[in-house]
Amino acid sequence: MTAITYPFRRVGRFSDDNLPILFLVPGLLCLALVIVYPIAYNVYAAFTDANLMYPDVNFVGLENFQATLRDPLLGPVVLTSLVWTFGTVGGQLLVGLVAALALDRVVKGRTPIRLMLIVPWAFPTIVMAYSWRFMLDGTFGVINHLLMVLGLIDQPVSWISQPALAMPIVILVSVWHGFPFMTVTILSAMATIPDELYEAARIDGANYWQEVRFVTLPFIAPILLSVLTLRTIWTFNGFDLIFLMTGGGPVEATTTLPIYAFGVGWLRYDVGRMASISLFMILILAAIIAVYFLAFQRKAR
Amino acid sequence: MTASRRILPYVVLTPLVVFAMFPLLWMIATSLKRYADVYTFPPVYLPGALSLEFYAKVLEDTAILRNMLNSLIISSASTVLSVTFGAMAGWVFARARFRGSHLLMRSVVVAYLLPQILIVIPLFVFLHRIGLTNTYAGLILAYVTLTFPFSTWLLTDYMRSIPYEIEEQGRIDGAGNFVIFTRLVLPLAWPGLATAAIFAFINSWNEFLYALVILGSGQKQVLTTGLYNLVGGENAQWGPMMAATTITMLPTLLLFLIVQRRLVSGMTMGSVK
Repeated sequence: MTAITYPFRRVGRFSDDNLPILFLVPGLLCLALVIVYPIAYNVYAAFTDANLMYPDVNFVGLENFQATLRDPLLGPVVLTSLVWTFGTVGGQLLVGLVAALALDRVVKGRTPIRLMLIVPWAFPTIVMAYSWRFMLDGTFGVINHLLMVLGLIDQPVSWISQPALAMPIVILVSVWHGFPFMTVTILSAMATIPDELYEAARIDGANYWQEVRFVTLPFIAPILLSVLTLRTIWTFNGFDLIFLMTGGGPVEATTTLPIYAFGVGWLRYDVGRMASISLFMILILAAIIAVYFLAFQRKAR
Repeated sequence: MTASRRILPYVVLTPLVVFAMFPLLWMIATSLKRYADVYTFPPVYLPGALSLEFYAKVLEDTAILRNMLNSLIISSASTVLSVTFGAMAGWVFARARFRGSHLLMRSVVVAYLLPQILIVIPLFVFLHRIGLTNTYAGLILAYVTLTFPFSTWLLTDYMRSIPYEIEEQGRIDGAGNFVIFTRLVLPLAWPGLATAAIFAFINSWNEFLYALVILGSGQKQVLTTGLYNLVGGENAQWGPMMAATTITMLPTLLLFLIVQRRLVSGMTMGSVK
């Protein structure tokens, strides 16, 4: 009989019997702090004139919502958010898929190549924002030089200060950062595809592209759906990268909903209005997710 | 397969690898160049000589070492707490089957679906009310809430794979819950604990928004906000900036490379954002 030694002072009988519940307490407190409390606070604050500067709080009914909906900036901001979200996710999917398919066909050197492809994932947002800003700099940026050498432009461009260019640039950086995640996810999903499916397709005379279209993609579609949904949510909610690269500018060209909300709440201290914007964001998110599921339900057939 | 068929994947992958690696290489290269080789156009690709002058400048003129110490303290503390709570909750989720356990596990994921913006201001207000803004404890608490859901998710999964027979044997031998957890389960779970710890550490170290709002300036600020506060005016000092970003990034880059295998195994979905 193995003897288990008890070097610890015996935990009280009550706490030991109820250990599972006790063990959940810190976790529940965390979740309360990060889910329940913020939602409750925002729902509450949205109906008040809560302000970070002034201690007194008054009920203002639907004023915040009206102010938000009447803001002429709201339309462009929502549009910018959608462009940012779908541009980023689409780009990450495309590049990630291409990389995954190519990497799948490679045997020699797969590990070092995969490791190098993963590097963007490791960047903290602020480091990413500043290094890309340097590379895109109008005066000293290396990207301008490379483009000039390739003959694509004939003068240095100040990429981030042009309203029309700022959003594509920010999307580019986000795609750069996020495609490794897609690649890795797609690769692991592809690894679960049974070989028989490929063999069957080959017997039917399928070439590579047909294999991809009729075997690979359908098989990984469910995983892709959950990953894309998650990615869409995170991108839509994203704040750090845009804030640190462009601050929302130039001239609100890259102001997405989170940046807009932050400006209202933290820079103008109007927490009540910020809460109304946050709730509005959740509504849009829910709509996007619903669309995803509907679209994929149909495709599944 | 024809020769061209075999080369095609490499042809496709080469620009992708260049795309992926170039920013890192350029950043490190810039940090090691001489002043004149950085502030020039066209840029210098192969500098004649390297220099540590930017690192010297960053170490002299900024509080980067102090910020790094702060980052270390805060990230370590929040990691320890996050993994501890995560292991506790993970074990319960892995073993127990009580009413509502499923719901609880789902809500753990919800924590990552809410916009940070939604969370950051209430969190700030809460911490302000209990006097924890501008303190280590405040940011540590914030980071625990940030990293706890993922730790729990990872460890629940991990603990499920620990055979229940081991615990059963422990119970037969008369061990109580606490002893089973600490003497049997935890030792077996240490790879999962290590992975969870590394992810929690990386996410805390790299985090920006909470740090900005809760501990945005002053003596106790972390590396990320320190970097942010460096870029005061329009005169971006690229050389020192690249040295500072390299210093900021190096620890987590190394940790990331250690743990990236776990990412590939599909165990972790979106752990590092």
